[in-house]
Amino acid sequence: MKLKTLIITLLVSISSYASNQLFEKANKAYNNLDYTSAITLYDSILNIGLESSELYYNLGNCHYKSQDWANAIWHYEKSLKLEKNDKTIQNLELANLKIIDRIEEIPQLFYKKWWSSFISIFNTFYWQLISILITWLALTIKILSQFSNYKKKRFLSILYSILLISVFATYSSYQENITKKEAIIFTSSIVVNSAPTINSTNLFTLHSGSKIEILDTIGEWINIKIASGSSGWIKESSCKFL
Amino acid sequence: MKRIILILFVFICTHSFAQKLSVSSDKNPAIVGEQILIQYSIDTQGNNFKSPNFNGLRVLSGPNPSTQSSYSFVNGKSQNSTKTTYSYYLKATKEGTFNISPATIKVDGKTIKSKSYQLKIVKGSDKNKAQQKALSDNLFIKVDVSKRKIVVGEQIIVTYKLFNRLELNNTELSELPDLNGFWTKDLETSSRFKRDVIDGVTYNVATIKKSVLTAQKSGNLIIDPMELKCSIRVMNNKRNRGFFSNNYQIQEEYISSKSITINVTELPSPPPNFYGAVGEFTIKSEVDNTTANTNEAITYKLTITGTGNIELIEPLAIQFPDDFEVYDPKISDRIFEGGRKRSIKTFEYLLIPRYEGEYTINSSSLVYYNNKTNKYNTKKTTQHNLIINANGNTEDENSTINQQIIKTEKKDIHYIFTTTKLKEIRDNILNKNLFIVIFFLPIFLIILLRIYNTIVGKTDTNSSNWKKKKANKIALKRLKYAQNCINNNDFESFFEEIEKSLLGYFADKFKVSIADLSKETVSTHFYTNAIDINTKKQFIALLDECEFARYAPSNNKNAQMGDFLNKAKHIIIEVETALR
Repeated sequence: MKLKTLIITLLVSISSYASNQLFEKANKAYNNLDYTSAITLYDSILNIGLESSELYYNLGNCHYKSQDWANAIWHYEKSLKLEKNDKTIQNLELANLKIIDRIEEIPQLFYKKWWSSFISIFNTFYWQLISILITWLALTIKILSQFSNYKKKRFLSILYSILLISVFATYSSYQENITKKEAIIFTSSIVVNSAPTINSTNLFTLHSGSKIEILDTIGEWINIKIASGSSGWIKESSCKFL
Repeated sequence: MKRIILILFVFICTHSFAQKLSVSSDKNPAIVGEQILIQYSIDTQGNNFKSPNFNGLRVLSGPNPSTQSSYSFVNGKSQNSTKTTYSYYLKATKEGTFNISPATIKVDGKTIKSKSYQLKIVKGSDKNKAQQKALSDNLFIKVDVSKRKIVVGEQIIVTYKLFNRLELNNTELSELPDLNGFWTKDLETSSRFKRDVIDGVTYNVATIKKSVLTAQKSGNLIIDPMELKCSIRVMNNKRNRGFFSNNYQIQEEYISSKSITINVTELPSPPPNFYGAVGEFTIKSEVDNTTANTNEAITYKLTITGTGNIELIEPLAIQFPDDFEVYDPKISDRIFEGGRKRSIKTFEYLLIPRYEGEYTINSSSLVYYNNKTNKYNTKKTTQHNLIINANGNTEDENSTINQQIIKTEKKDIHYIFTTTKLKEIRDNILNKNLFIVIFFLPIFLIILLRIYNTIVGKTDTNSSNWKKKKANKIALKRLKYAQNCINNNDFESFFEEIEKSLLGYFADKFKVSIADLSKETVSTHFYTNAIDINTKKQFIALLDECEFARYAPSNNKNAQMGDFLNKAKHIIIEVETALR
């Protein structure tokens, strides 16, 4: 088992040099307006098993330039999952203007907005690390104060409150990024049903490029929710998971 | 009596007979090309006459209404009669039987309908044909076209001429050519007849219409026929001429020109700046002032001279400096023969420079197709350099209004990232279970520590530390209780509380049990903690006084008690500040 991971890391370190070259080659293709070959080059990096926020961003740009809006949106969203970046957010906004559906988002309450922007400072992994670090720090201080004259009660209580916040942030971040499943519609148009059967009432129609949240899965049907709050059932095959 | 009834009867009868719309024609059957008169008559006055439908027959004129009224007085009886007639002149263009539908008229609110009428048209005899031919030989319209194969935008002249050898009374245009696909400009013509000899035959020739046509699209464009209504005076060839009867009669004839097809071809692959100018042109540009002050008008004049479709030339795209205010050009032209002769078109632009500086108006070019050499030519205007000086009178108030706001109207996505740090694709989080273990272990340990402290720590230094911190709070609480005692005049318990609070405070503060308390221990502790000797003295004195006052009755205990309370408070504050 350990040997296997060692081999993988070794392979990765070797291939990372080659893949950086691939990345630069793809960038050149992008500059020469040859978007299809740029896409194949970027995709070959993904096929090696490597990824980065910038890679997804560049792929999104390529798809945007070749007017494949759904793919562009998917890659921008993927890029944002790895790392938040203003350039990516602005490009995603532009891509969202190009698609057919314009989904009006329900405005969030101000504290929810603050909270979500606060937790998006770090990704889930860093939040986990921060919470762990703080607990161990708290323990160390506690032990120190127990067995010596090192007394910093106030500092400890501040630490406890930070710990509480970070634990909440970790939990929300986990819910937002790991538990929450999202997808982009790739079929040009799909009717959303009220139940997971074809004969059920048609509620509304979605078009390619729309972002959906997946609430539930039954067989090949998925229960989806869009940003405006409406929900329904569609077939899994019509969208691509993020 | 009988007679009256008879008269009445007759009257009614005549009245009812009158209400009939009869139809008749002067000839039936008629010959093709002949004029036929159809008359509808009624023996009263009516209104709202509705024409019948002459299926396939051509109406030359009509309905022409005429009313006849007569008044006769015979043998003492007067008779009054009115007759209304509506007449039509028809012409049949082909043989066959034509059914004319009934006409209607309104009389006294009643609608009266005629019978439908059948008209037979038969083929004319050779004599008639010869007559027709003789007519068309002697009276015809000829169309002259300057060119039959042209390119889009090229101009041709079309002339319609009337050739005549008969006695023409009157002519009237009955149908104008449509000329679809052409831009038409009529030229002035004189309709006076001139003599012209063709093949030894003399004709009277008049130019009816002369136009310059500019082809607007490619393909086979048709110049459709023009129709003319001519009234000719012909000799009456009927034998039974009356003494007074006229020898001549007016005959109406319709003559039309032949239609002509013009072959219009598309221009060969036009260059990008070509906007349809065909012909031969020269271009010239002028500026009235090369140096001007700001906000002073400059006139830029562009003159195009030449032959061709000059009238259709649109203003050229001229690159004026951005800081110039440009108004729509004033277009004036002097066109001769629709551009067939050297014509002039001018565009006058009014420019107002808003800022000082040196500007250039770049040369603009006119691309045209020369239909003689079949090539595209380009003529360029000269480039003008302008020097704009600052106007001394510019008002500072307006300077902010003239500021330009930089706007970005077009939006595009940001450029790609050129560098990246590639990582393995995996879920970028710690394993949930691992996280729980690592995270909750220290928390668990902290809680354990807490529990341990609460169980073991009562006799521990830790608990005495806690007591030390709480000491002044307890003391203050006791003193407050003592204050209550003053209010209740409970002297006994007051002194006890004061004593307890002081001693208790001392014991907690210096970590000694109350049992060990004595004046000696107090003084040593005060000494080791480096507290002011005065405070120590006060402390001991207060204790003594308390003991004394408790058992010795006094007159003004209330005042004493207040004094004690303040002293105790003072001492505690002193000690606290010293220990800090």
